Amino acid sequence: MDYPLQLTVNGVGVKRIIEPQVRLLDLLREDLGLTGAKEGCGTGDCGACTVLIDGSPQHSCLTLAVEAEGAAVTTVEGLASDEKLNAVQSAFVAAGATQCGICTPGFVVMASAYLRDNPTPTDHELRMGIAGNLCRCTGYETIVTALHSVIDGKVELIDVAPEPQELAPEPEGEL
Amino acid sequence: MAKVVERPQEKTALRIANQPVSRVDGVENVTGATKFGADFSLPGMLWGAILRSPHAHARIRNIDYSKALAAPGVVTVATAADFDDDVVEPTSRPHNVFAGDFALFLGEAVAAVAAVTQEDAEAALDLIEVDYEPLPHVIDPLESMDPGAPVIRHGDGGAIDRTEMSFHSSVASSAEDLDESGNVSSQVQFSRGDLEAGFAEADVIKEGTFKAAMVHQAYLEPHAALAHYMPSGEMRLWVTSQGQFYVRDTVARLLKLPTHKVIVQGTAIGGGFGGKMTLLAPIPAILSKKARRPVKVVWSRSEELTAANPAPQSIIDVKIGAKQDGTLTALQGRVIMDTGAYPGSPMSTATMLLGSCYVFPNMELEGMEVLTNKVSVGAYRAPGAPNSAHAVENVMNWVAQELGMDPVDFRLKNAIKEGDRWPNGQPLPDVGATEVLGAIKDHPVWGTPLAQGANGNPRGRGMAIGCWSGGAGGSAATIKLEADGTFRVLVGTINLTGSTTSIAQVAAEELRIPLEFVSVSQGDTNEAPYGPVAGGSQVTYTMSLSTAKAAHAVLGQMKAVAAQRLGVTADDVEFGDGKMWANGDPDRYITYRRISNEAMGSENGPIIGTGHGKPERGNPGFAGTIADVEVDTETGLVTILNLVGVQDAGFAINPLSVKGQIQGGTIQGVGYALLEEIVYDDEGRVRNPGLLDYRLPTAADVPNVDAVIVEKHNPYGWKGTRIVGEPSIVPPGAAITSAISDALGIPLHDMPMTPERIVMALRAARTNGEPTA
Repeated sequence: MDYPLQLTVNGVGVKRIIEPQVRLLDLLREDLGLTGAKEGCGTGDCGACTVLIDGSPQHSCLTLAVEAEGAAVTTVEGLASDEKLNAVQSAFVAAGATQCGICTPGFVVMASAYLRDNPTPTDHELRMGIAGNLCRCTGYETIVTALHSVIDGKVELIDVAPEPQELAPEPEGEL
Repeated sequence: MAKVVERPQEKTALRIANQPVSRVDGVENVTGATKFGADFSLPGMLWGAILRSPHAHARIRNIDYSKALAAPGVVTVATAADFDDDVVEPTSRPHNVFAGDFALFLGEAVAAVAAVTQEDAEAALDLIEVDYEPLPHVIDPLESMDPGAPVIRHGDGGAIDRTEMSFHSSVASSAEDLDESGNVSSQVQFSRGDLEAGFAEADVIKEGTFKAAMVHQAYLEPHAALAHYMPSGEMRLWVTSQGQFYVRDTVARLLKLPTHKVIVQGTAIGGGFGGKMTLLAPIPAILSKKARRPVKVVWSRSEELTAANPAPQSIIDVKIGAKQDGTLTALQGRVIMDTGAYPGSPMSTATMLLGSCYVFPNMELEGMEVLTNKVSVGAYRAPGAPNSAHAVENVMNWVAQELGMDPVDFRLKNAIKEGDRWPNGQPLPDVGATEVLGAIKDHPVWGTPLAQGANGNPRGRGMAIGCWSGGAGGSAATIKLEADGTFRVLVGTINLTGSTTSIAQVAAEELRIPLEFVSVSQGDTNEAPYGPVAGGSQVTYTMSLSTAKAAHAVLGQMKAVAAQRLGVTADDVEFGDGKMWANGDPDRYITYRRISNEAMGSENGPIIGTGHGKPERGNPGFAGTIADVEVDTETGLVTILNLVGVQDAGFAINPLSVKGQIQGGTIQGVGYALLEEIVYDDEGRVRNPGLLDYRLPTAADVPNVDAVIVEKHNPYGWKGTRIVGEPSIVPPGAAITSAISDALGIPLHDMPMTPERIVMALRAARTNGEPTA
């Protein structure tokens, strides 16, 4: 039996008829082509598939698409504005918090929501707050450093598509 | 802080190299724009699923997949029968895609289905009828060595395939292949001096038997590959792999396609650590060739944990003798390494590395690789080295304690230096063992006595060092000057851990322009010049040399154009910041942009340069760890209080990236030490095939790592660069287990030291004074 489904993803309305067993992760990746959310385990243990459902961070691998009926879903693709990365994304880039990058989408979605709800956590609280997201490359230090820079308000937002610069002007006159 | 130990004077000041630079692909990574293996799809694509053996050991009498073929959505099925006998190598896992006459471990691939949806493909697996004759199996490596144990290999002959191990280590070691009448598949021996005499002159002798568990690389991106066999006879693949050329060669060979007809695009890779080479790609390739449609296969996490190629379990005996003044006299060691159902483990490397950090005048080392009915093992970041270091470094600490010597001073007295020989007789180049030990000795944590905690739980400190030989493969890079005066670097190596950023830095440094005027592209195997497997920590080591050569080739062409315009000889042309000028006359310059355009109209034509070559030799990288721990004796829980990771990087092209490697490798070492273990039951089934029960360190489990970069110039690397990726994972397991021993006052012998093992060890020590863990 197929179900009618209506929701918004990154602010865009989505209307589909879907089978009930389709996971939100599959709808995003396979149907909508939003491959930012990753499947690292499929069992809710790694956090790489984290998206926001009405602002709440959820495992899209453990969420049926039909559960998101009427919801506003935000994926990693929807975090930045047209001009600037958000603070967590900017801090990740500056601190070198991405190595292979596969856990990064889930991490920045999770951390953006966590810091929105907990703007001044202790280091211990912060580490507990992101303990549901696994990273195998960094050992977490650069991620934690990045998030502390957000907490301390020390992040310069990074341009999404920076203006090209000119290196050396053409000299005046003929050579 | 980077600690510069030794560096020759540079002719020009460094601009970009040796600067902490954030990743050139950082914005893509944080916006979800980076495309990994599973993110690629094609119109008309089918999904593949793999049928796996339910038995640890079985004869396959027959496979009937007619019902599966008739199932909804199913297009084709592939089995071992689809590969010709002359390309299959039963002793090489990558060249034995599907189990043939025998399945040798539970989870071994037996067949694969391609269907319109993943669900259709998975449903059809149940319809494949395999007639198995279960055979006796053996799971434990020591039981497997018993004369009466079931014999695992069935006279299939064939040399042991050590290709993948050779990517990681440029050091030769002559392991001997054995026949298949028993389950010991190969052995190796190294000896020097007179072992008995060495122990006779020792004042202190310590020994122990150390077990290390089978662990998984646990990259967070499971294997994924998309194959498209084209009507032209071309096979195109998008694969997450550490080596796209290795995938190409393997697929070409297995499917009997000309190499130039196989085109592999290595995708962004979500971690590899040695475990992602060419295990999966041949399966979608054969399915696509049969279906004549694109086929994608993505492994589940449970397939990863049961049927990939994890790091081996080992049992290592080590006995060390030293004189009262701390001089080492003798080393005896024996490595038993469980290779799973296929030979080719890092056994000989692990054996040799027992004698790799210190000068032992007398030694006898022996290694044995043992087959069992478990998944075959592969490489994992410095393969075999953490196991070796765990054994040697713990015994070194016991000897130091007995001698009443500081463990760092004891090591400094015996540390291996240039000209000393490894157990295989190879003399060493200028290595950084002494400098790494010096940085540990100077570190504030080492200089501050460990304060006892308020809660009364015991605390302990441990230290260890370790090394890795690393690869030194041939490589090439191409650089083009674009019409606007910017540059493109084309490479064939995989951007495993930020090597692309380092390559961009090398190019920018040599071309004397800011980083944003250089872009690095990873071309597919048809477009890009050859690049070696991203293993053995070799990509930046070898690619920095090739990239610099390519830059020099480009600069030579540019100078010729500029010289003509400026009316001087090319030797008199100076350059920098996007312009060239005659020596002494910087105001009258020609821009790179104009050079590019003028070259088009000159005999030179477009400016393009390629650099290729191979480092003259590898040069081992040394690393060290200090660990402070607190142990809850009630629950066995270990809290790491301090973790210091020191590593000699030679010349850190990107200190941010090098620190990231030290931090990441050290925390993977925490996994080895405390958490990670693939657990098998008696039937050969993995008991913990998920990331809840195969427990990786989380942010809440680990402290920050104080990463200290030592820079001891390596004459064979670009500006002194050494290998970086692997050494940091070698010593932490030894340092942390040693710290736990120190806290509890009992010697410990196993990795991981889980809470359960710690409580058992405490109990055993209390009841009979004999530690068992």
